[in-house]
Parts: sequence; C-alpha cells; structure tokens
Amino acid sequence: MSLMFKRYVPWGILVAMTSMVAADTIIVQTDLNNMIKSATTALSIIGSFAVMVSVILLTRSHAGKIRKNKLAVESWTLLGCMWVMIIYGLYRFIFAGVRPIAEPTIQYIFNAIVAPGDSTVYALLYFVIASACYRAFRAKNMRSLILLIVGIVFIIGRAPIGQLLYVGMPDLANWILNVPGAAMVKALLLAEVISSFALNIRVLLGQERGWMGRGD
Amino acid sequence: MIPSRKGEESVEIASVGQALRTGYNATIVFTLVIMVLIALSIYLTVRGVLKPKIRRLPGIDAIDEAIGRATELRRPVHFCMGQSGISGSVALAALAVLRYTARKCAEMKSRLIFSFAAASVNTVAADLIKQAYIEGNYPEGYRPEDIRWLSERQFAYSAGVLGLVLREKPAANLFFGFFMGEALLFAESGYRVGAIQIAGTTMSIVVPFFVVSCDYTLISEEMIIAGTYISQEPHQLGTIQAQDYMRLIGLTILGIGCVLTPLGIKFLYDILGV
Repeated sequence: MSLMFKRYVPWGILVAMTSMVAADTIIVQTDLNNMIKSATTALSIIGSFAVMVSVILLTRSHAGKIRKNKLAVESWTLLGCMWVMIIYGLYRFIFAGVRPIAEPTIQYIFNAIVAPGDSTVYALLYFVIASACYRAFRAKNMRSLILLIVGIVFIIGRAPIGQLLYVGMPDLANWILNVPGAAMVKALLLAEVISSFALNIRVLLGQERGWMGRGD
Repeated sequence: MIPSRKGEESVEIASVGQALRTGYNATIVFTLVIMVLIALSIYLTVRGVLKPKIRRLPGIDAIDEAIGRATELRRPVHFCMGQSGISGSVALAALAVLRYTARKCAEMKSRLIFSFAAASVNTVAADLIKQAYIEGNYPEGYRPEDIRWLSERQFAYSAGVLGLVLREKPAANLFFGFFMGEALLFAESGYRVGAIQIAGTTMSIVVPFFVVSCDYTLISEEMIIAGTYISQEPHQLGTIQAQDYMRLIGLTILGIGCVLTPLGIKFLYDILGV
C-alpha cells in the first residue's frame, strides 16, 4: 500500500495530467479545454500553498536556531520582518479591504528597501565579472588563447575605440556574435530540446524516478 | 472553423463533436515517430541488442571526489538549484543529481546544505534528501534546517546564497538547475572560499559564467542526462540511444532545409508549419 501511494499514485497523476494537457494542445473540446483551464488555475493556487508550507517550514527552522542560540540575529530579523509583513498585510486586507500588493506601507517598504537591495546585489555582478575575466583571460593553452583573442576582439569591437583602431572592428564583433556564436547556441538548443523530450518520455514511462525521492 | 492556439484554422470533425487544431500536424507526426523510436530503443537495449554507452562526464564523476574532499575537510557540501521550480526537465534532472549527491553525502557521513529559490521545491527536496540519508544508513545526518528556502526574488536569493557560502564555507559547491545573472555571483563566492565547484545548466547565456568560474561544467544536454549517467539503467540508456537517432533526423532535416531554402523550395516550411 505504501509503495502504491509513494510511487504509483504520483506517477498516475502525472501521466493523466500530461495526457490531458497534450490533448488540450491539439484538440478543441469544450469540456476538456475547460478542465485544463481549471487545472491551470488550481496549479497557481497550489503554488500559493507551497509558499505557505515553505513559510511554516522556514519559521520552524529559524525557531530551532533561536532555541539553540538566543542571539541568532539573522533568525530574529528574518522571522520578525516576515511575520510582521504577513500579519500587517492580512490585517489591512481583512479590515480595510486593501490588497497587500496595493498597500501603501508595503509598497513603500518594497520601494525603499527591497528594490535598492536588488540593485545593490545586481551591481556586485559587475565586480565579479571583472574578477572572473581576469582569471579566464589567461593564455594557458590553445583553447584559452582562442577565448582570449575572441574576448579582446569582442570587447574592442563593442567599445568606441574599436572603430578608431580599425573600421571593420564593430562588424567583426557582430559577426562573432551572430555567426559562430548563434550557431553554437542553436546546436545547444537542439540538443537540449531533444534530451528534454526524451527525459519527459522517461518520466511518463516511470523510468526516471529521481524526482519522487523514493527508493527503487 | 475553430481558431487554433496560433490563430490558425482547425478541421472540424463533426462525427465526434471535436476539432483538431491545425498547425500541429508536423508536431503530432514527429511526436509519434519519436515515441516509437524511444520505445524501440528501450526494447532493443533491454534485450541486449543495442549496447549504448554514454561518454565519460567528468563533472558527474567529480561529484564523488568533491564530497570525499568535503568529508575529509569536515566542511559541508552545498547544492544550489537556482531559480528552478518543480516543473520542467531541468528541475527533474537537477533533482536526480540532488538525490545522488544526498545519497553520497549520507554514505560518506557528510553534511549537505541545499538552497533554492522556488517554494514549490521545498517539500519534494526535503523528502528526497531525507530518503537519501535513510538509504545511505545515516538518517541522523539529515538536518531539516539545512534545506534552505532563501527567497523567490532573484537578487534576494543571490544575497542569501552569498551569505550562506561565506558563512558555512562549503568544500564543494554544486550548481544544478536554472540560473541567470546570479550564477557568476554564486560561482565567484565559492571560488573565494576554495570550494570545488561543479555546475550544470541548460541556459546557454549562463554557461560562460560557469565555465570560467567552476572546475567542471555540464552543458545543456549533459545536465539533462546526468540522472541516466548516474543510474546506467538499460531502460534509461535506451532513451539516450533514441536521442541520437532523433538528433540525426533533426540534422538531416536541417541539412535538407539548408540546401532547399536557398533554391527557393520551401515545402519543408509548409510541412513543419514554421
């Protein structure tokens, strides 16, 4: 019975849903189309529940940390911010009818704290790109030499100085991007699509069970 | 006539009260051909007629080495799934690698920290890791607090992973899943703490980031077949053989198209509906 619930029931649901979604893609049949539409809505609702479950698990995890170490500052901060926001958002929604997404205080917190935080982390990216380039652009062997040459041509071609050095430099940089670069990307895409298709078939046939997290 | 999803017309089948959307003929035919190919390849592989082999993937082989090193150094292994949700082939492939990693961590009695962005991954991953630790005869090594849902926001998640890597100083960083610009932030922070880094993604724009910052990188298809490479089961190997046939068919069509299109013959366009 246990094996039935742990393995065959999830697999059965997967096969049924996949078949119906595939049929919905190619067949116009009102009942089927409506059912899949409802299923899509249900999926987003389930997604919201997943967030709720994760919030509870996160609270438990950080509460455990606080129990072990009363001065776990990051856990106190996280739990405080998260639950204050949740309770305030719900309070405003229930008693004032304001949706949390349109609540002015929450919007202010988002604009004053979250958005600048995002921008700060994004800005860090430029420093790590420079650091990674410093390591990557070393001619240790033939492949890294090719990378170095292509990288230099591309950087110069994209900078205004490239045109001053050689008129055709921007065109050369564009050619690298649009011809060999695009060809490589297409090859990767073809391989990815085919392997994804095969993986999905394996999942449908019940041969790929890694995602279920159960022993064979 | 009923419009299709692409805004085209469909053929009405009055007898059964249904209609097929047009523009999907080629899709249906190719899907059926591919499914037959896969079924045939699995059958022949299981019967031993075909003996497909996957070339060595150093990135996967290096996972054992990385976990062993983490055990020796008494430092944790960090597995990062990026922004992958629970749907899609990338997530399924990443979960297969996660399961293998967790099992190896259990066998070597090493600590595994798993970080991710999508809440939908939480319960599945927790269950998967717990089960792997039980199978590896080290159930006490499973720590729920090491399964860390950091944030659904890209850069908040990035900041979380950066902090995690700098605080915990993992000896091995494994990045498998869907990544965008944050990939380089993760890989560089791992480099700074001296971790062995293995990455796998299908995002072609992220691959260069991982290639320059990680010790091993699985690119595109390599990442998706990682589960098969690990298990080496004949059923799964059969589908890999079928993939090669599919690729051959795709390349043949591509070649024919390259010849015919400059000549002004565009029947392939009509057949494929592109």
